[in-house]
Amino acid sequence: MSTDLRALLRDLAEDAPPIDNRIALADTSYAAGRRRRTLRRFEFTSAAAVVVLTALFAGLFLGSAPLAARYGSSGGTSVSGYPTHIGRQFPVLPLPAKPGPIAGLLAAGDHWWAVSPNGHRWSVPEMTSSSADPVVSADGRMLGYLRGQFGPYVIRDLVSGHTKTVANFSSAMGASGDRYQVALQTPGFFSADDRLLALNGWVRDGQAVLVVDATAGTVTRTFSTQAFAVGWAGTSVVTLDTASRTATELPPSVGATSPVVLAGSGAMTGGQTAGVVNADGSTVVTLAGGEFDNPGTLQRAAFYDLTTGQLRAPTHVVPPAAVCSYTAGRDLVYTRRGAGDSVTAVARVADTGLVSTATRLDPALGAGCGIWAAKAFDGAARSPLLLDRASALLLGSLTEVVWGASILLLLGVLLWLIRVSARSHDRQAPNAARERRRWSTRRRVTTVVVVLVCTSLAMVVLAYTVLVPLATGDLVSTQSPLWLSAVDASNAKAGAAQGAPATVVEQRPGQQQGFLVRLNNPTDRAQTIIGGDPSATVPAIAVSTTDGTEAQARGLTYRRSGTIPAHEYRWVRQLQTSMSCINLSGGSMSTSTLIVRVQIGWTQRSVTIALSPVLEIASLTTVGPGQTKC
Amino acid sequence: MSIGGAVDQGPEGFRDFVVARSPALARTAYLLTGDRGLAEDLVQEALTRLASRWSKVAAGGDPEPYVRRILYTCAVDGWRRKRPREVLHASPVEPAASVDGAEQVTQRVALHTALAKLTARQRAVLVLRFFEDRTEAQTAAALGCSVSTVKSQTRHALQRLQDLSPALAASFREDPMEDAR
Repeated sequence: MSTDLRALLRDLAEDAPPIDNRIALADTSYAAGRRRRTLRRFEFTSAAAVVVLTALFAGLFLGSAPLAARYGSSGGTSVSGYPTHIGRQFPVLPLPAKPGPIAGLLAAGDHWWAVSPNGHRWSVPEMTSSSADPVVSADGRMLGYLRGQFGPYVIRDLVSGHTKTVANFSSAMGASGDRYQVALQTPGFFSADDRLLALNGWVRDGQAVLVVDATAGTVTRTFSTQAFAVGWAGTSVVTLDTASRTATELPPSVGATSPVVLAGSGAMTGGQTAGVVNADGSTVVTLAGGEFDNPGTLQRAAFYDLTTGQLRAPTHVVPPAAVCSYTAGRDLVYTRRGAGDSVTAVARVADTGLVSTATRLDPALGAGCGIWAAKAFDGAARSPLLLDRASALLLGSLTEVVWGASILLLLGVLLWLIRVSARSHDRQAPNAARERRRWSTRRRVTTVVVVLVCTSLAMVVLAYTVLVPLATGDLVSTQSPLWLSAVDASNAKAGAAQGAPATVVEQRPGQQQGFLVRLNNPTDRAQTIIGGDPSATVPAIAVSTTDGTEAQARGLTYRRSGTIPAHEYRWVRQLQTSMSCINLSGGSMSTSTLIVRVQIGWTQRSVTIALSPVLEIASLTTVGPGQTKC
Repeated sequence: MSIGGAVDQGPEGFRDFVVARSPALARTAYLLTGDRGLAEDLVQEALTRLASRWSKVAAGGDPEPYVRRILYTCAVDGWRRKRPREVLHASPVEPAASVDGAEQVTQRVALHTALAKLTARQRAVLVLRFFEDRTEAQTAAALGCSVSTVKSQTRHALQRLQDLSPALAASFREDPMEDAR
């Protein structure tokens, strides 16, 4: 090759730009290189994290039997233990084939959840609340339900994973041509050995108790009877006839034993009477009354010896609650409704009459009736699982988080557009070639990743400092307020004020008068009462340091501010007349609301709680010497 | 920069390298781009990429081959395509010094103009082969292509230069002995 071209090139190369400040060039390049190195590592880490998370997500949540669905599974063949709390959880995955024994079933909307002994929930899409109620065995191992409204009837062994289907079943609202129909609102019962299942329903010629062989998947017996099956005593189905107040055992062989008349009348006076046989078949428990019969009345629980029909203990009064379903293990366990139509707790009543709350349900779940495995409540109470707690904390308020994320993502997009616009402007600058930074695809991707990560972090911070507190429900009062003074309580008279029922007491000038309200924090977050109505001249709010019964309320310790932990109760005291009085005879001061200042996280707000009945302090007597203290 | 053949893997070593070699890199970059501003950008881009891996490259010995390879690959592939297209001047910027006479200036202008009309790869091949005196194999290695590609690119580049600038045709004639190197 000619050397002339070499010479020409070398000559041309002399026109190359001089590098005047080489040290500055070195430092600038080194700093830029270091930034790129950091960026590269960040990209690599982000990409690796995305790959790992994608693989994790795919492995855990995708497929017909995702691994994550096994979370919360229990071991053994019989359930032992029940949840102390059932709260929000994310995600709720379908019930796996072999989750182990479950503690029970909980209705919500038009579907049911299976609940583990720790309160972990699974969905069971095949079970719909518009169909017949599902059945869970006493040991939590067997699950029976009608698939949709038209069957077949499915019996699942949750330990072995085996499933049996029984054909020719439908719900009472299903196809009329089916041979068997399952009653909608009466529970079914597995026998103690889980081999047989008694269902209340109909055959073509009328009402009957249907006995299904869970092993063979066939209906082995039908008993035409107007009574309802309430459980098993050995191999016999026990039925309860509320009209004649008799319990009857229906053995496998032809015929029935003589009915046992249940003694007493108090336990079985209502049309909503129902019963259940305990796990060993020795006791039948009935629960009668309630709001269906007579709204506002208490319910009566009675424990009968199934052999003699005699009461094992006096009839017990159960707190006012509508029973959804109940199951008898050692204690009678039933679910009760709170305000509205939502079940808020699972309660238990022992034959000694002791009533206690076993499981609290987050009202946000909107849970309906529950069906529980009897033996679960013979075990110990179990706390929620760690991941469920974490998911409830992070994603329990998913709606609020998504809302916050949407706003922040929108903000991120706007910032992105502003930045792109600025870049475009830079390129048009006179010295753009030298001044502009590199704007490669990689940098764009990196910026998107950085924006998304920062947005996510900001989203979490914003959600848990502002959005979630804002979305947290208010404190509620579920029972009538009490007068602070026992004197007022004893002298209170019924009346009316502000168009509503009121309880009226006489003003005692110069003396402390006030009232107590028991507030419930139905949310998942602690709420701190920091004062009363900000507009009041003398905020006289105090909060008890502990919860207590009505009888204990006046003796509790009160402080000017106090925290009500999630799902707990505290009494709030408001002094009504310590700093004010009514000077004119015939005057009155009524209070229909309690206003408290509440702090959740960094957010403060005023909560107005309606009082029922309205509290009124009236100057009933003529002006006397005592009022000079005002 | 180096003591007994070892290269300092820290920022001081990088600074020493830039101080020592940046003028030479700038000359190559200028031939590759045909524009002083783009040449500066290309040098800085190459140095930045070198800096991002400086410790590894320095640990491996002389960093110059690495940075030159970056220079060529950046010039040939995406580096310029990702940037807004620059319209090269019809005439090069008048050099501040070295007025070697009218004929030499004419040749320089003609060469600059002709180089600007070559493809980036053709330009890189010519720079490697005739400015840096690399063999075809070394050129192929530097550009990440085959030797036959280098041969064909060289032939096409020279033919194109001859077509574009007949006045320089005599300087571009091919020497058969060169291929034996």
